[in-house]
Amino acid sequence: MFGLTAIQLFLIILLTELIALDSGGPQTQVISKPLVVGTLIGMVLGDTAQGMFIGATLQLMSMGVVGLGGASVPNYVITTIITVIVAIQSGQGYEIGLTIGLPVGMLYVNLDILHKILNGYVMRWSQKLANEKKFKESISVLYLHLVLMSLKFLLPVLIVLLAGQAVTQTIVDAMPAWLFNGMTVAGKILPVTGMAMLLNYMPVEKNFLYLCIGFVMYAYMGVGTLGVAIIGFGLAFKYYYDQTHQVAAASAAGNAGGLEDE
Amino acid sequence: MNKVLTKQDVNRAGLRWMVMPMSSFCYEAQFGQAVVYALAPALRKLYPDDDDYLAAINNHFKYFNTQPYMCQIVLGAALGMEEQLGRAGAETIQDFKTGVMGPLAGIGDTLFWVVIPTIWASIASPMALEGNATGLILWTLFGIALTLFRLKFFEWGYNLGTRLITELKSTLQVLTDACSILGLTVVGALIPSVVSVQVPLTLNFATGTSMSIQEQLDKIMPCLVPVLLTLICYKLLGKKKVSMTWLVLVVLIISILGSALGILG
Repeated sequence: MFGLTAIQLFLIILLTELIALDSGGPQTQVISKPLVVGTLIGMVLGDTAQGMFIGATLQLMSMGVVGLGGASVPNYVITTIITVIVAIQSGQGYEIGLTIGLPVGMLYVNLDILHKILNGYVMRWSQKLANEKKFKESISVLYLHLVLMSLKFLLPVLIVLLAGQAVTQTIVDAMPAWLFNGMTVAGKILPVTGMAMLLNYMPVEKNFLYLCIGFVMYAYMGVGTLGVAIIGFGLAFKYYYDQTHQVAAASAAGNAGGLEDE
Repeated sequence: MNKVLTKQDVNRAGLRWMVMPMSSFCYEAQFGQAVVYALAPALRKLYPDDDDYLAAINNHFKYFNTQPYMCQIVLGAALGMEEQLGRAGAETIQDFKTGVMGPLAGIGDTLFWVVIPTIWASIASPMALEGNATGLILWTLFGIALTLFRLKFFEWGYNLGTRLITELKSTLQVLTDACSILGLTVVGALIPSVVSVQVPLTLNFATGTSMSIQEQLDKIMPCLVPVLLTLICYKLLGKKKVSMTWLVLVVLIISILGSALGILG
């Protein structure tokens, strides 16, 4: 089990379960994101700095990857958990970890679809019990969702942990240099997929100007992202102000016109 | 107006909503089951008669989906309507829920799933890459503050009822557009800042001089490769309807080929 102590193993499973319950429930934006998860797992394994580094890298990769409207998307939090464990415990760093972590995060999509189909069966069961006036049972059945959700997160992590170092080491040893280099490049390109998804959620054509402003400020003028965010906030506020005061302005203009006529 | 529900009943329903919205997601009814789970105890109190209660439950099992934070407001208002209108209001409540779903999802998704995480990640991640946890800690504190703030959402919805939603709806489009402006400005800066791929290829001429492709590209425009890649992926995801999973696979293959051939690095 990757040379994990019992306490480390327990903490990893506990954290994974917490993430499952948060992602399935309140979605607090506190723990269930790669940056935080990477740092926490790193802390558990005694290398916080590397955990935070990997978490930040995966956070950038996952930006914009959100399953809106029930779409199933790769789970970068599970990728982070596995990447950090493999990277630190094998002592071979981030690219090796990503080689194992990224495919698992992508296979998660299939589990997610299966989960949402199974949830349909649970609903029919619950509704059937309600129609039979077994109201208590009808609600109790819904707790199955929490079990399924936990399994969806725990299974991928546990399988990798159980397959353990031997299997991972075999994969790593068999990994040729070109694959290693390819993963490094992939790490640099993958954020593109998130950006592209973000843009698809936003009115790009209508607001293309603002995309250009942000790009020019960063790429040509060297303003940091925080500086760009401040300008963006100013522009957004101006738009909001203009729109909400348009009605008042229009009526004022109407009055002025009326005076001229006299 | 007859008040049957206490403040505790309302808050309990709000907290129960937070238990399983995503866990119980299914394709047919989406959040239907989570809505039933959240409202069940309050509805039971409103409808002591078994048949009324069953009718109310079955009504809420129906398709419902908007951004989960926004659901709190909508469901709060829906519970208020159940209390005031009773069984006679079944259709009104259903119409209200489906009517506000779309617009509230628009603003909720843009604001809570896209703009806020994008801005925080773009501040905290580069700091973390340099070993600085300040951004990470600030983001976490923000997350806690947001969660505490959200605990009030359900009660707001309940107290202000449909009035809140109508008021919200009028400024909704403007607010969504303003959020998109902020988001797009930040994304414009993010593309060059987080996509760091380059072209390490160097052409060697017989005359002994050599030419770096990356330098030539930089003369055209800084970060040309990231911009082109973003454009291609944008088109693939949008117009071509390629799924995210396939896109990630394609990127992996291109990366491996590109680095093996020395084109990308």
